[in-house]
Amino acid sequence: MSRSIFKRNTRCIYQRRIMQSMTWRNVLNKQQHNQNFASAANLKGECSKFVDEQPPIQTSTPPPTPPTPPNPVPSDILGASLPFVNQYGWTIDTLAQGAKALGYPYVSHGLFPRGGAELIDYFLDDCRRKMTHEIFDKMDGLKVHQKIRFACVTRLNLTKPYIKRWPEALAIMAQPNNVLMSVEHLARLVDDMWYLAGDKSVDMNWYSKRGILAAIYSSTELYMVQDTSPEFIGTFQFLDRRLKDSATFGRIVGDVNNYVDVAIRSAIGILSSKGIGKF
Amino acid sequence: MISRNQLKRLHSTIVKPYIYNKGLRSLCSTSIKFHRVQHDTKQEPETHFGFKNVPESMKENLVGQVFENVATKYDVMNDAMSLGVHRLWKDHFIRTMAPGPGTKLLDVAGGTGDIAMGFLNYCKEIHGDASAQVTLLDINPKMLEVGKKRFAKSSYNHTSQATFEIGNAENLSSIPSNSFDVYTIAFGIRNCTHIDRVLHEAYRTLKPGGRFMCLEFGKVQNPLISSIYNFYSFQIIPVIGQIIAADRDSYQYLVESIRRFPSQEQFAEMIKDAGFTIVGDGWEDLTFGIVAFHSGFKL
Repeated sequence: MSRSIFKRNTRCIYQRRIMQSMTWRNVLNKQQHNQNFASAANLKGECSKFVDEQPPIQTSTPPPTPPTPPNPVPSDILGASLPFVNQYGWTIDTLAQGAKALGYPYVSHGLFPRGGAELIDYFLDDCRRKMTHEIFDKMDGLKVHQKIRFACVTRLNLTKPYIKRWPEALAIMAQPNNVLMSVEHLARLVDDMWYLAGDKSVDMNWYSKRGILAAIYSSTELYMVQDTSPEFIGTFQFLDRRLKDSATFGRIVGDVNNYVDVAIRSAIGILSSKGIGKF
Repeated sequence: MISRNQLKRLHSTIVKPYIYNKGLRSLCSTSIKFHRVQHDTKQEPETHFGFKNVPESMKENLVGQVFENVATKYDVMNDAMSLGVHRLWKDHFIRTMAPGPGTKLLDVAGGTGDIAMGFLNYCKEIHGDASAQVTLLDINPKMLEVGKKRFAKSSYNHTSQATFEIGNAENLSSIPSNSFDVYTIAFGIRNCTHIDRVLHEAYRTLKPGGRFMCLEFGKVQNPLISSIYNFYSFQIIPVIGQIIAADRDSYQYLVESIRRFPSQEQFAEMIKDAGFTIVGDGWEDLTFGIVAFHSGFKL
């Protein structure tokens, strides 16, 4: 009897404690919520109105403060720097000239601690976007390989104005700390190209297609750097030859895939007929 | 007026140097005297001076005293304490700034002119430029005098590239708004009473797109390095100060003030609060974070 009373008492105390902490939490939540509201709506004077209107229990996390819009100045400077690339290369000098063109001091290049690599980063992103805009509504009626060629040609044309300085950019992109950036850009580019060409593959093909196109695009770009033919005819011929190769290559990959598939299946069949493994 | 008794008490609690190793105490010969400062200290908010708390109005004078004491030996002491590494920090600082032709630099707490000289040398050597300008500002006339002498011996003696000015970083009333490309403060902001006011003035004097750059001691995160660093700071540096500059207290203040300065994160936050745009974290640790290089842009 006495034990049960004791138990009940402790439970009561325990519960009261929980109750207390619960109420505190509610009060705190409420205050926080009201503060958020007040700061978001700039209604400090009307804060008390919210206190009355809001439900007392707020279990969800308070609404996030609205994100500040990214400062447009850095990307403006990058954009303004591109015309200076042919004169100064992919360097902080170019960035400084771009900043000066917008009326900012020379030292504003410090906004880009990675220097030329950030300008290249911006340039590659910008080109990819431009390519997409240029081709996405002109793809109708083309075959897949024609679409890919069209995308490659459009993208290579965007590098044309900077081709004399492009080897410099390639050197910067090949530096160990920039390799990740360059690979990422290439991957996004070929992914966009395949997407625009209407690729819907969901198997291993997805990888092989992108891998092959990445190899073709980057080798064509390398060819372009050394191309001296008028209007880069040589580059586009090179591209055509590589695309043709890839068709053969793709067939071989397909054949190999089939062969490996059959080999594995028959191996499994043989093993299970011997009673090894349960497949 | 403070009574003699009060003054005595103040002296024993505040001014008496905080010395870790009592055995080394006998080496101590000078102490910072601030009997001239006669304020009613009870009403005022306090600030830190090393590990001690002093009324806000006193800090400026106390710091002034410290640098008056060490002005002539300042450069030698820097080399001795940092084993020459401070040159690398400052060199990296200027290279990151990478000023161009015609850049206008306001070097606050410029003192003996390390940054100003490095800046002009960079412009001359990299761009062959003689149009860059630097205004060297310091609150302490004696430190500024050392800087002037140094420039008088250099090739910038007869050019108008360097100008000198006595002024308080918290109130740059003589400098118009939007007038400088770069604002630097190297190992100076720690000694200011109101860091937020300094940052506010920096923001005001910079042109849009201008860069605020600060080199200051930071906090070392690595526990092993930190313990070595602490030992070196508290046991060795004051002794070096005693031997070379015959002033232990000033260097005791130096190491203590480093501990009282906000951490890298906090300081970056203060820079942001002043209105600057920071890139990435907003700072770069040098030598395990013994020194941090903060930077912000007025956009």
